Amino acid sequence: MSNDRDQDKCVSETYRSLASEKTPQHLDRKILQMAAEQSKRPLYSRWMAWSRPLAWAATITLCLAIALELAREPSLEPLPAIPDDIAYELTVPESHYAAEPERGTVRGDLRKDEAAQLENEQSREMPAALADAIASEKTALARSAASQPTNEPPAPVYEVEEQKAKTSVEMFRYDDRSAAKMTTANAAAGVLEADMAIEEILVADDCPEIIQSDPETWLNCILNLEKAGDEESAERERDALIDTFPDFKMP
Amino acid sequence: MLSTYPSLMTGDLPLSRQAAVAYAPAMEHAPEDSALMLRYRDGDAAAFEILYRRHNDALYRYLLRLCRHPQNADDIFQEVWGKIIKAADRYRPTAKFTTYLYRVAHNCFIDYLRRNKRHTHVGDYDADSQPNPGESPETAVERSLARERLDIALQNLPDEQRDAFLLHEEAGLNLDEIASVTGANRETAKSRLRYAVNKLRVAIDEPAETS
Repeated sequence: MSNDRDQDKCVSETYRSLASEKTPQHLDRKILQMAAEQSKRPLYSRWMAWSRPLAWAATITLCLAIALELAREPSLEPLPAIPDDIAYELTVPESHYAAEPERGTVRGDLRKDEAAQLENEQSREMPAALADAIASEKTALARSAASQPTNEPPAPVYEVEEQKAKTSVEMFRYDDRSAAKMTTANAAAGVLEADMAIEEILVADDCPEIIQSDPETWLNCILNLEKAGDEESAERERDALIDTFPDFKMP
Repeated sequence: MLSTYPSLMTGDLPLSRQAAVAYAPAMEHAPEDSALMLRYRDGDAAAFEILYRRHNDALYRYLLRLCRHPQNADDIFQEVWGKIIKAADRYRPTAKFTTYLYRVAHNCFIDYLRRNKRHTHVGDYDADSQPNPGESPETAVERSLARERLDIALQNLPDEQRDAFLLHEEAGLNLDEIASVTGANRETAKSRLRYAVNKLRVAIDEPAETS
């Protein structure tokens, strides 16, 4: 091992004695002149020296800003489902509401508070529709009463039912503040009571025009007439129902 | 540092050679070389001259023995320093300046070989040998013959082995630095250097066969 090292040292020493060349002077002059000319040119300025770190800082800042902006977006959570009671009320048939066929149904895409608000508005408007229905029914009954013989006593059932309808209308006379305070459950109760009032009105001799607009309610009116014993009126109304709604399947 | 190739005792060399040796205390020069280069980057031309004087001869000999043609060595020498000067604006002292310098030189030599594939010419140049003043005539003759044999053996080495040997001798690089300059791994650089030294040693030790 030491012999190898000595021989390696001998090789190195021999080479160093051999390698004694020097750089030609013309090369030295040329290169030093080139270096001097290059040093006179404006070197990397301080601003240029900061360009790379500034570029890095701008890139990192931009990436952070984008990441924070994406993190700040609200998460799109699914809307809560409509409770069953409201969903039931929202699917009340259109025939229960007067003049506006689209009333009684609420679009499925409405949110819960909008559905409740619409329900409240419909509840407030319902008494007006009921009042109109009762008014038109009164008119019709008055006409039929005038056409009837005078010795016939007035139908006692109508008077009782009229009183009941008046009571029903009064039940729905809410002021604005009460309507605003009414909860969704109360609105549903109001709708239910309106349905009951309509059923009470249907016990009259003839079915009013507003009832005749829907074949199902008309049929209910006819059945009520039959229950009340007025088979002639029921038969007459049944014939009119078949004529008006020929496609309607009678039970 | 090589485990089987000991460092030179700078005291054994003539004074003119000691300054050119960037060998055992290479790490002490490295910061100073980098500092000079940084000063040149900031506009100090005198700093570059100091740096140039420190490395020009060793680099020239490296290229001369690598190319085996003086004219080609001159061209590559100018190209190497031209690149160093132009890249001064972007210089960063991430490694030893010597490693950086000889990496550029090695790459320029590779480019030269690619450009002159069909025109590779091994020129004959006479190794300039100067006898030591205190030597006897017999010793001087023997030394001269040994140098000639070494020179011929060096020229006959494969390019990779010659390159490894010259990087070790002229630039004073260790195995890791030689591997970094040549783009090889440490074991490959070690084997190349070992083979080169063995062949040169045989050439020096067996004068009767080569004469």
